[in-house]
Amino acid sequence: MSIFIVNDYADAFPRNKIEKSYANAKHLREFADQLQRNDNTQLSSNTISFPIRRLVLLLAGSFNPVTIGHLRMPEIARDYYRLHSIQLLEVIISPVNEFYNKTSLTPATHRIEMLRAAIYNDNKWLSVDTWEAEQPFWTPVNLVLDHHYKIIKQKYGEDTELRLLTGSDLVQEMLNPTKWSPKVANYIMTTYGITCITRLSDTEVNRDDSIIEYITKEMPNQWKQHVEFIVDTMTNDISSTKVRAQIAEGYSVKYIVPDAVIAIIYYYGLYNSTAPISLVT
Amino acid sequence: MASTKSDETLHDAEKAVEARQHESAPFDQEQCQIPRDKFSPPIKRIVILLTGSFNPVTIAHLHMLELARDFYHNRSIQVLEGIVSPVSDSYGKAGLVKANYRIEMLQAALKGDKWRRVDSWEAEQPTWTRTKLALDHHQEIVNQKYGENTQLRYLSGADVVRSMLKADVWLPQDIDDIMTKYGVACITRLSAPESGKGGATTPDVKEGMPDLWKQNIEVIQDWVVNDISATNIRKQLANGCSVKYIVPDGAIEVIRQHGLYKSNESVCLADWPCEKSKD
Repeated sequence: MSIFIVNDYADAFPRNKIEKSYANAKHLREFADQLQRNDNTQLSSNTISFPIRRLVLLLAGSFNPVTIGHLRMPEIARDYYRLHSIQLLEVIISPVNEFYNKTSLTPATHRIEMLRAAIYNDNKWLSVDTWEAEQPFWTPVNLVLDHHYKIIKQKYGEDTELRLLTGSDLVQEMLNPTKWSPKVANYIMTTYGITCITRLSDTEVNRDDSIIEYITKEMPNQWKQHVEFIVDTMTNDISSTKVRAQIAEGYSVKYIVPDAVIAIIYYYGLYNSTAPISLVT
Repeated sequence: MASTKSDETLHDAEKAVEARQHESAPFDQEQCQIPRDKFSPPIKRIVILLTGSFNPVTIAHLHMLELARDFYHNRSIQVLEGIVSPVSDSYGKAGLVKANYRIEMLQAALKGDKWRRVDSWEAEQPTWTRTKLALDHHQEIVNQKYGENTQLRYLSGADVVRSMLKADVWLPQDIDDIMTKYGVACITRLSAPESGKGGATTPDVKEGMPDLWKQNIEVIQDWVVNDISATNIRKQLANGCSVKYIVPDGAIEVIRQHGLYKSNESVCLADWPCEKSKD
């Protein structure tokens, strides 16, 4: 499996601006040395090369509440990119603003608290960002991307990419001119690009083709190159709507929602969790 | 689960429970005349037994237990305990890791759990144990622990229950015993169809089954779609990919610690060093 091969012969390797930011790649070299001692890897023994792209992902959404479905997405994306020699530097999780106007949207403070509890052990590469939620009005995602892009360029360098991480439902919405202005969709596609995690087929709708075929059939050609599809073979289709319904009925959502988040939900009585007799003791 | 409310409430509750027990129709929450904030004692108490390879344990397994407990609690049947019983190594399936590891993964997954536990009796047997015998064994213990009226219920997935129709998999006598003495709680998954084909499938589990079976199988519908297969998970682990949120965290630690499922043979992508920012 070829991942990430760092080159010892610095001068021979075709240089460009990417490598300047790797001046301090000592920890990468150390890791590479460690790898070379492991005989079972398929990495060639004396070269490791720099990643071909460096990338940050933005995961936006309501997270009402956050579920393992959401949390799997950064994991899947990370594995996919690292297998393709692309370094995923971090994933920024950005819960939507309260003014988004969905009927059952819990206050942002709770959603942020739940997210932080959910990624408590994973905060080296995942972070919850409150900028979007703090804005005094609803902020469309292109502005959120613009905001974060500036910060990322300062943090990691000019050549770092920012992409939007999403599921197939959002991509389909973007193709719908009544839901998304084509101009905005085009801006997002061409400036940033989308990483779309999807299952192979859709459970809700009866179709003969795969979701990817279905989406790309309708997609303007100039967008196709900007959408990267990652197929998730171990999909859980976890809709937060269903989760909220289960909580309101007193049913257990353990293993669907992280334990720490469940504790917060019951602590504050979110999602009508105090209404019925809880079947969960 | 005795009520701590007033005598009047208790009296109401007892009358309602008595009335219900004379009904031939299954308990219907909608028609229950006890307002929801009054607390009635359970009409029955059961213990659930979940068997399988647990190679490795996944959230799907543990979620089955949650679903089953909710199902019964909603019908005033108290679930006292959930017993998770991994199969013994002599089951002979390819890729089955040693029982002690599978038990360790389960214990890590169920650490601190209030109503579920891992039981190693089946794993300790020198040969593979028929499900019916495992049920018999655990029923003995349940009787001692909770009294003679506590039934043991067999929890399984739709695939296992459907396999009862196959001639060479189960002893017919065993199935009859399981149906009459224990009863089966069958979880049906909402699963995504095969690649490329649309539509969620919820096939009728009881199709083609004799009446005796139909009466004693309780179908519990899952509300999340999941396509978690142990084969897939093992492949992910062998490639260094993440199974976080699919396999419980404690179990993942056990897997990495012992290098199970070839997880040490390739680079763990999660451990790949992340570049520090410039500041």
